[in-house]
Order: sequence, then C-alpha cells, then structure tokens
Amino acid sequence: MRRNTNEWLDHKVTDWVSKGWITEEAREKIRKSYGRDEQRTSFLTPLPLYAFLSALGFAAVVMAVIWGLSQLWYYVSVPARMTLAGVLLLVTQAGVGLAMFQKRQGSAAAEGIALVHCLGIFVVLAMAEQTFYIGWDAASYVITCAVLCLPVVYFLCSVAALVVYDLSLLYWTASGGPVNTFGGMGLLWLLLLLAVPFYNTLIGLRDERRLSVFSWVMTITVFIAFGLAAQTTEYIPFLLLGSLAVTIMLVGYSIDIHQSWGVPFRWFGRFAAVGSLLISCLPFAWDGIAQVQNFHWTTDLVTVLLFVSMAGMMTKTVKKRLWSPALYVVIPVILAFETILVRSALYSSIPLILSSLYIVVLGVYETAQGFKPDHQAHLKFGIVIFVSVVLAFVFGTHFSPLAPILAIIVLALIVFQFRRMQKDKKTATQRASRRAKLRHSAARVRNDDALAAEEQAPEEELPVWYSPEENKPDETVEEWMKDVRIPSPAELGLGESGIEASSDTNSSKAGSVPANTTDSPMVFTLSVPAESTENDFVPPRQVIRETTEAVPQQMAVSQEKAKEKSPAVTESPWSHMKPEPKRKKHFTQSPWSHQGGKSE
Amino acid sequence: MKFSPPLQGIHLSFSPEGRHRWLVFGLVVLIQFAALAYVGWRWHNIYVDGIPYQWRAVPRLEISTFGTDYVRVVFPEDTTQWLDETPPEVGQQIYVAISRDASGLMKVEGASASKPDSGSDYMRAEVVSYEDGRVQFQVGFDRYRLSPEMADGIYSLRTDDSIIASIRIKRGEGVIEGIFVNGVPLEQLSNAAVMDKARAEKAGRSLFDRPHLVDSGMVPPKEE
Repeated sequence: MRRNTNEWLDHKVTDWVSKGWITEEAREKIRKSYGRDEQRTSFLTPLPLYAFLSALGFAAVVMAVIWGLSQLWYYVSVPARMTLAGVLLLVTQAGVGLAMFQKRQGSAAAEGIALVHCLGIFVVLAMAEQTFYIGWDAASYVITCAVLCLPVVYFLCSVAALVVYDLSLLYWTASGGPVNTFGGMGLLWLLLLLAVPFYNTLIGLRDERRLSVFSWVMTITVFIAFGLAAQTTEYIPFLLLGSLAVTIMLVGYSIDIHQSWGVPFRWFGRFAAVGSLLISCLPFAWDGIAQVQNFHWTTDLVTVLLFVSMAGMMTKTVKKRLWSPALYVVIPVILAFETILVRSALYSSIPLILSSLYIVVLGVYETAQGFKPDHQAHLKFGIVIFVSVVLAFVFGTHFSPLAPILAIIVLALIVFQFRRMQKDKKTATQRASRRAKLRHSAARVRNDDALAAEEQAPEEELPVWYSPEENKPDETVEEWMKDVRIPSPAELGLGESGIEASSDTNSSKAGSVPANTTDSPMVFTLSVPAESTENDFVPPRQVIRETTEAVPQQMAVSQEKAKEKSPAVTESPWSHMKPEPKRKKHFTQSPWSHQGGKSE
Repeated sequence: MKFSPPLQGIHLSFSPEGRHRWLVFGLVVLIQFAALAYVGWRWHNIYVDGIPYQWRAVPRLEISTFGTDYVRVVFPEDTTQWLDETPPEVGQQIYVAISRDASGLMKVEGASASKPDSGSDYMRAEVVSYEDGRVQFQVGFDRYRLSPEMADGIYSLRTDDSIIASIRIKRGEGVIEGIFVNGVPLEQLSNAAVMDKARAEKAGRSLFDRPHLVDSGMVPPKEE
C-alpha cells in the first residue's frame, strides 16, 4: 500500500481506533478532514475527452450567441438594455446573498460565486457605459468595477475576488489612471489599504490557505503597483520604496516565524529594501532628487506615516527577532538622512559612499547568516546583493578607485567570516555529538560507564567498596591520622577469601570488612574499655598500626594507590630513600578485645 | 495555534458573521445599483442641460469582430496652443477652452492642465502629442450611435461635403446629438435623392449664406 494515500490513512486511523488511541468520533473527524484532499485529487484528474469537447462546444455556442446579439444590439432599446443590466446585477447579488445566508464563506462555491459577481459587475457597467456613451476611459471603468467588486471579498471571504481587485488596480496604475484621478498616487495607496483589513478577517477565520494567498498576492501587488507608479514620476522615489519595503518586512516579522504567510512579507520586504538602497548607490538617482522642484506633500506624508508604522512595530510587535529587522530599519533612516543632505544642497559623495558601505554590511550579514543550518536562502540573498553591487558599480557609475578597495575589504570579510563560521560549526558539531551520547538509554549509558571503568581501572582489580571520591584526602581528618599508613588487605595477606575466613574464624577479634559498602556504611568506632582506661591507655597511633581490623579498608587502599599514581614532579630527598622493609605481619589480638566484656 | 495580527493596535476587519452584515450587504447592493443608474443619469444630464455647439467632424466606420452599433467620429480641429509653461505628458488629462466664431461654429482657444479661470466653457480631453508649444488632443465623445445598415452611407461622403457634429457640453463632458452632412442627418446619408438635393443647394449658396444647423436663438450669448 502506498503511503500518504487516503487508503493508507484509512488503514492507519482504523488501526489507531483498534488500539484505543483515538475514539470513533475522532476517527470520523479525521476522515472528514482529509476527505477534501480526495475531492481535490479527483478534480485534478485528467478530464475525459467528452467533457473537453462539451466545453469547447459550449464556448462556440456562447460566441455565436454574442455575435448574433451584437448584430441585433442596435435594435434593443435603451430601457431594455438597462433592464437587462439591472437584472444581471440583481442575479449576481442574489447569489452572493444566498451564499452568505447559507454560511458558505471561504468555500470553493463561494469563490465561484464571487468571481461570477465580479464578472457581472464588469459586464453590467460596460453595458451602461456603452449605451450612455460620453467617452470610453478604460482606466476609470476598471477602477470603478474594482471598487464595486471589493465588498464581495469580505462578504464571501474570497481570495479570487481579491485577485480580481488587485489585477484591476494594477491595470489602472499601468494605464496611467492615478495621473488623471483626484489624489493621484495617494488614491492608489488608499485603494490598496482597503484590502488590508481582509487579513484580519482571515485571521479571525483561521484560514491558513487563504492567508498565504492573501500575503503573496498583496505583497506582489504592492511592489508592482509601486514600480508602475514610479514610471510616471520625474525621479525615483527610493526613500518611499525603502520605507514601504521595511514596513512590509516588519509586518512579516510581526507574524509568527513558523507561519507560511509571513514569508512573502519578509522576503519581498528585504529585497525591496536592499533594492532601494542599491538605487541610492547610483549617482543619477540623486540627480533626480536634487532636481525636484516642488514639495511633494503626498509622498512626504506617506513616508512619515510609514516611519511611524515602523517605529510602532519595532517597539510593539518585533521584539524577539531584533537584529535582522534592526539592520533593515536603518535603511530608510539612512536614505532619509541622505535625502535631507541632498535637498539641502549639500550634494556630495557622502550619500553614495554611505549607501555603498551599508549595502556591503548587509551583504556580509546575509552571507554570514547563510552559513547557519537551514539558512541557505540568506546565503543566496547575500550573494545576490554582492553581485548587484558589483553590477551597479560597473554599469551604473563611473569606475572609481574605491571599488577595488571595497571589493578587497568585502572579500576579506567574507573569508574571515567563513573561517569563523567553520570553526564555530566544528565546535558545535563536537558539542552536538557529545550531547548525542547523552541521549542514549539508561542501559546503554550503564554499559558505556562500565566500559569506561574497565578502561580506567588498573590491572589489579579494585575492591568493590573502592570509591575514588572517598579516597580524596579528607580535610576533616585529624592531622595525626594523615600520617597513618594502613596496610592493604593484600599486604596483610587477606584476600577476599581470607577476609571472609578471618571474619568467620576471628569474628570475635576483628571487625569484619563489610561486604557491601552501601548496605553497611563503615563507621570507625573506637570502643574504649569501661574500666582502667587511664592505666591501659595506648596511643591511638600505635594501636591503629597494629590493629588493622578496625580501620576502614578504603583509606588504606587509597594511600597505596596515591603513592603509585602520583609520580614525583621534583626530585625529593625522600625519593632516594630505601623502601620501607616489609614488615612482618603480626596478627595479635587487640588489647581492647579482652575488655568491656564484648568478646572473649 | 497562535494567530497574531501584525498591527496589534489596529483592529480593522469585517467579520462575515457579524451582526450588521446584512445591513452592509444591503448598502452595497444599493451602491452598485446607484453606480449603474449614475451612468445613465450623467449622459441624460449632459444631453438635456449641456450647452450646444457645432464642430466640424468626420465619421469613420468602426472595425470590430462582432460589429458595432456606432460610427467613430473624428474631429479634425484637434490641435491648439498649449497655455501652460510646463509641457504636458502624453495621456495626461487636459482642459481645452472653447468658444464660438463668427459663423457660430465652435472655436478652440487653447489648452491647459487646469480649468480656464475666465469662466469660459471647456472640454475635457487627453493629450495625444505635444510639440513646439502646440498640443494635439482627443476628446472622449467620439462615437455616434448609428444603425449598421445605415453606416455604409459613409462611403458616399465627398471631400467637399460640410460635415458638422452637433454636440452638447457640460462641465467638460460632451454628448453628440447628431451629425449633419450639408445639413442632412447622417442617418439619411444612404438616401441619394436627399443628398443630391442638399449638395445642389450648397453649391448654389455663397459661403456667407450658408445656414447654421441650429438657430441663433439656441446659442447662449457670450459671457462678458
């Protein structure tokens, strides 16, 4: 069975129900959710031949009807024409109302109804304009239809109608509509703003698919409209473009980074912001700014509003992702500063140099970002920036000696950053591999620890109660106890068996060595005889030397090991001493063993 | 899942489930019908209230895939002096100042990017070209509704025929009332007998005896 098919999903969901992971109700809901995909896939299947021929025939019939009507159109009276137009409009409006009544907003049917409504408005208005002809202004006609189509975008939550609206705006702009309309370019931005609240409507409906379409369509429309509008202006409004681009980018950053509809805002914003900065690297762009005669109120007002929006978003919504937005927010600030310089007749090379340097900074930043995992797009963007800068220098300006110096600096920065990133990457890989080891199961960790212990263990097996931590020199031990050398059980001729044997045989004479240190923590207690303690007092040192039974064994072992493990760093006068002669072991009974009546 | 709007302080949205949605829908329906009605009313208003002018014109057949119910009207006097200092751009909307000459025909006084201050009448037009202080323009009212079978009469027009379009102008917008060839309506152009009679009468009259298409009483007096 193929994976990710409806059949496979059915099988899996049934399996989950049988395992008791989900309820029957949940299964039905899940099946319902992927039923749409099934419809979509069936819709995308190739159309049969007869359906294709039917569509072709239907189109031919419609063409013939239109041709016939056009021959008779002159004889249709004006009232009849207007009645027909009114009925057509009413039918499409009724369709919209019915879809609203049935609460089919945001469905495929609603998209179709919205499209038919838009088409109806275009047809009806064309009929009226042709009948009562006072001049055919295509731009005015299209913008009127666009405005009349906008409400259906909201009524039916239709992105298809939004596309119609945006395309109409673009046509209007391309045909020079804003030039001859009251408000000019300001009206264009106002009309674009009218579609913005649709974003909040979609957010309220939690319709991710339409949100994505909305963000892509609106972002593309805004920048194309800007480009078309800029064609008619006497200078390149790159300050306005930069401000608009950064505002759109900040809108993108205000959206959760994991949501798909934030991507076009962020990336188109970045591209346009860098584009505006690139334009400001070219001398002719500043010539245009310097030659502007009048004060452009609309442009300046829009720019100020965009700056306010940027400040608001930076302080309120763009908090977590600071660096990248902050770097791009500097672009309109730089452009504004440079514009003020130029408009104040302080025209010099400062704007060109400042813009060039900052675009290099951005290029380096984006390239450096690109070395991070899953940030390859930033690397490509950084490369595009550098290529664009080089092309701008070569074709857009006269060759300057600054260019090779700048190129060398850029290359050095890139190499430096590349090496740094590689080093960081290597360190991160090592760290990650270490962390990966920690992620193993408890059993694996235990095995690893056991292996490591085997590797670290000396040839002579340590006793089970050996604990390295406990062998550290204890600061709390009395000074006189530090000099005590306690022989190991081996030195005493007590193997494990010996200890056991001695414990068995001499249990009354010696304290037994605990078999398990955890079960019975070793406590060294001196049993002082109850009687004649003063007369029979034996210095502790002497007693302990001779009475090995009562001394914790780990202390003895540690001293032995410490001597073996730590080589002399400097030559000590004691290092030439002859080793202490092996003492003869005397297993004498402790003088305390006969006292107190504890043992015989 | 978190859906946070980009501008948290701004809550501009329209909910399709809102309480006032039917009220808004009703309002939109009315606006759409009003837009349709406005187109008709605008034409009627110009046709009734507009100031009548007579302007030389040339009818042309319109070529279209599906055929048309009108003929294209070209106004030969489409070039005038540009009155502003800043040269216009192609496609820009301009205002053409108009008046009447001694014969009662419309006279183009000049063109500007703004409406004439003197209160004289004007036409709204679009710049076709500009050169050496003279601008070529095109007015919007360039169609005349004519039956398709009558449109073929245009082929019988002669170069010496006097073709006058009767138009009405109001606030820059215009409507063509009728087109007259030697005083004969364009609809009767196919009627050879009527056209011959009109041409003979025209040849027998001197230039100053030529009657105007409209009575002088219809022409409003010149404003001071």
